[in-house]
This record gives sequence, C-alpha cells and structure tokens, in this order.
Amino acid sequence: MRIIHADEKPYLSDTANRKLNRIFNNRFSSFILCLLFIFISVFSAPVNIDAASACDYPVMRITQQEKALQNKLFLSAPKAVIDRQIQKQLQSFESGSSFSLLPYLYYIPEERDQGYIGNCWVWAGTGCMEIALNVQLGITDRLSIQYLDSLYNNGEGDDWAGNGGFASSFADFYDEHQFIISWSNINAHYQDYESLDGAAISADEIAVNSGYLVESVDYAQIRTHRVSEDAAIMAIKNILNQNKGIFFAFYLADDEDWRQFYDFWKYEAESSIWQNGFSDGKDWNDEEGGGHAVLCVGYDDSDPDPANHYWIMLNSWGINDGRPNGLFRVSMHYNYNDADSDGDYNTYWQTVEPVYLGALDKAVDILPGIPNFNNPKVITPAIW
Amino acid sequence: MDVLKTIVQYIKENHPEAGLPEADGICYKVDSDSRRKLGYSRSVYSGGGWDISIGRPVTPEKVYNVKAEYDNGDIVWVGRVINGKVEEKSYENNSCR
Repeated sequence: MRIIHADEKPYLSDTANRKLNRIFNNRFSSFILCLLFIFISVFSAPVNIDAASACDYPVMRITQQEKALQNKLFLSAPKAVIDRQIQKQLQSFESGSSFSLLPYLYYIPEERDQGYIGNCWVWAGTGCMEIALNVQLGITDRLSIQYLDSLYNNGEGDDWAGNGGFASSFADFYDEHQFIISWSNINAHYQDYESLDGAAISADEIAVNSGYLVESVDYAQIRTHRVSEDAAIMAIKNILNQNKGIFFAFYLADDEDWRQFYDFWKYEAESSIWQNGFSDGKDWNDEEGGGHAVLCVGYDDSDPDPANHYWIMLNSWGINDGRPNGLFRVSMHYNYNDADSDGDYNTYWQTVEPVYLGALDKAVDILPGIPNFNNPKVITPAIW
Repeated sequence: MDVLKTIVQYIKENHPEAGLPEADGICYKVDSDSRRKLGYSRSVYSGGGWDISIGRPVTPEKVYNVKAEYDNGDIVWVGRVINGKVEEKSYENNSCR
C-alpha cells in the first residue's frame, strides 16, 4: 500500500483523470448534479414546523459574546467608595459585630409585596432611596413604587417596570427625573400587584404634591468579585456602616435552585439562614433561570460560630407565617465569586446613592382617608 | 415546558377555531432582551405562525404571564397561569379562522 503524506497531492492515474474529465464535461451529468443540489436544498429546509420534528431547526441562542457583554456591563459600573475610618474601625472588631439600617426605614411588611409582577428591582432601589432620605434629611417616609411603575417606559410594553430591570435602570430613571414622590400622594400607593402587561394606573393620575428633590442618583458596584471572601465581607460592611442600603442582586440557574429558595422563604423562620449559595458552577437554564433583587440592611457576625454569621435582607414578597417582617438571612460565608458554568457571576452587591436637595411638599391634596395613608412623616419646610 | 402544554391545551379547548398547533410543534427560542434581567425572564416559542411569549416574574407563587399571537396580531390571547391554573385575560380574533 502507498502512503500519501500530508504535503503530497493525491495521486490519480492518467486513465482516472481522463474518466473524470469525461464525466464533468458531459452536459447531462451536469444537469443531474444540479437537480441533486436543488433536491437537497429544498428538502433539508425547515418548512414544516407543525411536524413532530419541527424543533429540529436551529433555535436562536444568545451568543457567548452577548452574555460576556452583560457581565462586563455590571463589572464596569463605578466602584463604591470605601471609607478608610470605618475600615479601621471594622478591623478592630476582632469578635465580630452587628449592624442594622432598619431603624432608618419605615415600612409595612404586608404591604411591601410586589404581587405577581417582576419589579423587585424597584422595591430594592426605592429602599436605598428611603434610607438615604432619612440619613440625609432626617425624614422617615415611604416612597412610591407605583410612580416609577407608571412612568418607566410609559408603564407599558415589553419593557415596563413589571418585566424586570437593573440597579442602573433605577438610578438612571431618578437621576433624570430629579424627584421622587411619597407613597401617600393620591394614587401613589402600590396598585400593580396583579398587573399583567402594564401599570395599573397612568402616571397622569398620580398626584405629585409630596416628594423630594434629588440632585443626582448614582449607582456603584461594591467590590466583591476577584477578591478574597474577607475583603468582600469587609467592603459590604463598610458600605452599610456608611448608612447606605445595598441593592443585592442574585441569580439562580434553574427551577431546582429556585424551588429550594421558595421553600426556604415560605417554610423557614426569619431566624434561619440561607446556606445554599447561588447556583455556583451550574449550567444556566434559559427557561428556568432568573434573578431577584432585595435590599440588604445589615449583618450580624457576633456569634463565635461562623455558620451563624449572616446578612439581613428585606424582601418585597410580603409576609408569611414565619416571616412577619418580610426579612430573610443570607450566610455571610459563601463563594463571592460564584458564577454559572459560563462564568457569569451570580451575586452582585450594588449601591444606589441619591443626593437629596430637600422636600417638595405642597401640603395639599394629600387625603388622610386614602388607602395605606399612615406615613409618620416629619414635616419639613417646603422649598417650592 | 409544562406551562406551554397547559396553555396550548387551554387555547385549543376554549378557542378551537384559532387553530393552534400541538405543543410539540412549537419550538423554544431564547429572548435575549430579557436574559438576566432582575425580577423577570421570558421565553418565546414559535410554530405554525404563532409566537407564544411566556414571562416569569420572580415571585414566591409560580406565575407565568402569557401572550399567544398568530400572524403578527390577527389572533391574540393574553392570560396568566398561577400555580397551574389558567386565567384568560383577553382573546381577540381578527383573522378568517
């Protein structure tokens, strides 16, 4: 047997060459080849989508580049500023400590409920704004969720607030809008519990008599990726000790992981700690995977046993028998670099940071009789 | 996906004139716009001239928001599936079917 080397052209005898030339020079043979080509082209096309094999045609998949871009957008956000004084103070607590921003926040647990829509990001962002309002202006007030729902993308279409968003979407909205209104304004209380494809009420129908002017709203990423667990924990604590609420976003890759989380939320007490991590290393299931945003309001790592160290999260899923305050706890010790099998991180710790100018309080048209009017608001001089 | 089968069965039973194909003739597509959004994700399925969009808000109840559309809006069915139960919100048929 003769071996043909890779750099050598295949050998054909003169007789074989002559035969091939004859075949390809024959017009009839060319016609047959054309027919064969047309036959293959037509019958391999996905024309019959009702057939049982309809799903064999290539489905549209998000590309690796698109996913990488989304991850990059998160990571390219400005970094939250670490306070050096607080850092030194925290380092001096050898046996841990506890901290909570809940005293800065006024909320009614059963009304802090997004219902059947996907606007958790509005609740988490608004929580950051409420804490900042108290810290900066000394005002305790519930701020309207409905106002953003009704205004964001005109409260309708595929991208209305109930169909999801990001910390950056929230910050950009208020940075541009320049004021945020109180829950107590007429029609500003939450009405979207069961909205399906748009806000329950138009923004025109919401009174804007009571609210707060903002100079700017920024968002920033707390450095928790590509650093040690200790550094990540220290950075998060530092932001909380600056009296800033944290927009915590997490992703779970499939139904199995979500079921575990739902069961934890529904059937365990507020004192139990979510120890299951966040789908680390799992394949992302596009039909089942999803993300949720909650407000991180504090921590406790004063217990000698690290298994009892946790972050305090305020959810927007109302209350249940075991959770009268709408809170849950997340273990402080998990893999902060956890990511799905594509390398996209599954947890993000972000800040939403407004700079308030003062109260916008015309003190009219606020009816004590409207539903949910029970804000213990401190009256401050109106600036216009 | 179970919810797709539930929806297809519901529409076929309640609106047979719509001519929706069987669920196994409807194929899954990723909706890249909604991927990794916080609070909501959406899958789109296509087949037989129909587009069925199934949105999943991240809530403790198993809720799916559904819009089934034939031929760019000639027939539109909108509804919700909560814990396996179908709630029809609207149905509009402007086609010859």
